[in-house]
Amino acid sequence: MTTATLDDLLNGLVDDLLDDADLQRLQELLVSDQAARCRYRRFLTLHSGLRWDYASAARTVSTSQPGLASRRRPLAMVLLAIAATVVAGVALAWWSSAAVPVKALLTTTDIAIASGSLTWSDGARERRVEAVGDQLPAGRLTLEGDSASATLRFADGSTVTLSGECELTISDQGQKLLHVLRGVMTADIVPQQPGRPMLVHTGTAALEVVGTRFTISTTGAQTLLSVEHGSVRMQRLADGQAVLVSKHQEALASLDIAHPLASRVRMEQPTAWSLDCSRAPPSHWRATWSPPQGDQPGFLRAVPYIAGRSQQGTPLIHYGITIPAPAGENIPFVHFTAASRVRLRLRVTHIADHGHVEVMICTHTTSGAFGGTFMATVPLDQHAADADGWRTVALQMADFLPARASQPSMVDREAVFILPRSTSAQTGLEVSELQVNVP
Amino acid sequence: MTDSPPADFIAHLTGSQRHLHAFIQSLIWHPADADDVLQEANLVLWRKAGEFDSTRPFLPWAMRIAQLQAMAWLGNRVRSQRRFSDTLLETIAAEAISETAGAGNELRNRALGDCLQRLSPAHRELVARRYQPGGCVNEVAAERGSSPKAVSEMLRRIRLGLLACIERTLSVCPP
Repeated sequence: MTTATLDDLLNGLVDDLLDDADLQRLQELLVSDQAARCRYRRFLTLHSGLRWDYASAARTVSTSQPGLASRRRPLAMVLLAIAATVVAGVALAWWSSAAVPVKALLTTTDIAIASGSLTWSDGARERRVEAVGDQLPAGRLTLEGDSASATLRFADGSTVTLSGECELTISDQGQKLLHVLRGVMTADIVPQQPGRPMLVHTGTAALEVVGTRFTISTTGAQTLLSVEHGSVRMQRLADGQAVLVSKHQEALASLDIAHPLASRVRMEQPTAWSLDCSRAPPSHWRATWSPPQGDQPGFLRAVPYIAGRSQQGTPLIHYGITIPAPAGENIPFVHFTAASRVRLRLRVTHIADHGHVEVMICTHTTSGAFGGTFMATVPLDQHAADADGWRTVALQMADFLPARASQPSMVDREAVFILPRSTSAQTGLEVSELQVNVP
Repeated sequence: MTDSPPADFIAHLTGSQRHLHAFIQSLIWHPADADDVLQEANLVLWRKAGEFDSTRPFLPWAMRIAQLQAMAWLGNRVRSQRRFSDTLLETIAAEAISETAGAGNELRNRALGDCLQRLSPAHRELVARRYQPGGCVNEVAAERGSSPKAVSEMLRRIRLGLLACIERTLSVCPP
């Protein structure tokens, strides 16, 4: 058989024009001839390469062919996106290595970063995002500051809201691709093009989103998905199990594969919760614990943490006791009503910080979306200390002020963490009791 | 699995996507199917990141995993899929993997880009239309009022010209 015949067969193969007899001839040739197999690999590599590079050919085609560029997205970009979807961390590497034109992908629509920062980077460049209306290309977004939040809008009207400590990469090369490394993200996604769902990846899960409103909360070890409208397909990366999570449902993907991945109806949270300082707190809480001694209660002591960054990028160190759900971070654990009270028993070693401490609460809505952060200021001189220095503080819902005007009230919200804190190390804040209840 | 794979692993993985896609397509001809298998292979590679010995070349290891994924995919479609025999596919894969150690994939990709630019505008347009997403010779033929065989013949000449152009640059394949 001649090279020309082999090339004819290979050409027919890639154009799907071979009949069974031709295919059999090709197989026999390849089985018997190593040079033919090498030619086969070259031909198929070219065929694959042209699918990646067809846009390179298209760029120089006459502009009198309007259908070509506008009708479809470059396949190379789609393939990149498809491949990137399945691996956490891949997206950014592509963005920084591929010659993707820098064009606006997102517009900031609401930012509350009083003590935090929102930074955009594409690997080579970095800039702070501070104003509503900022245009951002694809890249990595890092939100710092425990009370910070930011909402960004895609050109199609879809929005994502980030809150607290959050880090993600975003691209849209014909298909939205997000990789959320950590934090809480609420997404309100308009219906996407058929066959091109938005893809969201975390360290533990892969999501496909056609058009819906949902929230994910992710750490390195788990991802909680809550769906408010529509449905989202969630795949657990640890073992590939997948589940469809529908309206008012949630699912948790972690590294634990002993239990099947399942969606469940979102549970209503209790309206009462109390801190138990008689035993050591879970390891994911941020505080140091002193066990009870004699008639002295156990208590938690504030530890330093980065609350945000200054305009110059300097970390802002605060001192706090971060109390998330015992079951894990970013999981709601208590529901606030209009009549809810937050009662604390606290002590300080020095009265600093202009004589007050603060109680910050980060919330979700009952449908799992980001519900805002709220802050109450506690003037210490209005709460007398007992003989051991403990002060009892009772806070009502009206005492908590919102970090952003679009989320004005904590009523009908669910706490994902409560953070008594001070801005000075000298304060030495300690908490022995914390209760949420409805009297 | 608590931690993400190291940066060099991610760099290897991202840098090998095009090569892995070509490799998978040599085993599974249909492009969309190759896309799916690449996606599955990436997942497995990501999960197995901890098993990768960074003192050894990444691509052969990744290709072996991609081969397993491709064979599993074909195994699930044994009745409906036109395909080569397992023995031939294993031979093709083994030779591709062994060739990988010395091959300059990046150079080959670059050569293709250069060679594409040397095509005539008419040929570039034909390539672009054939290889745009969802493109096929039947569609191009219908647009041009031609037969699929005639379009494929034009493409054959272009492909052979591109291969010759690339080989002139690289001279990798034995005659």
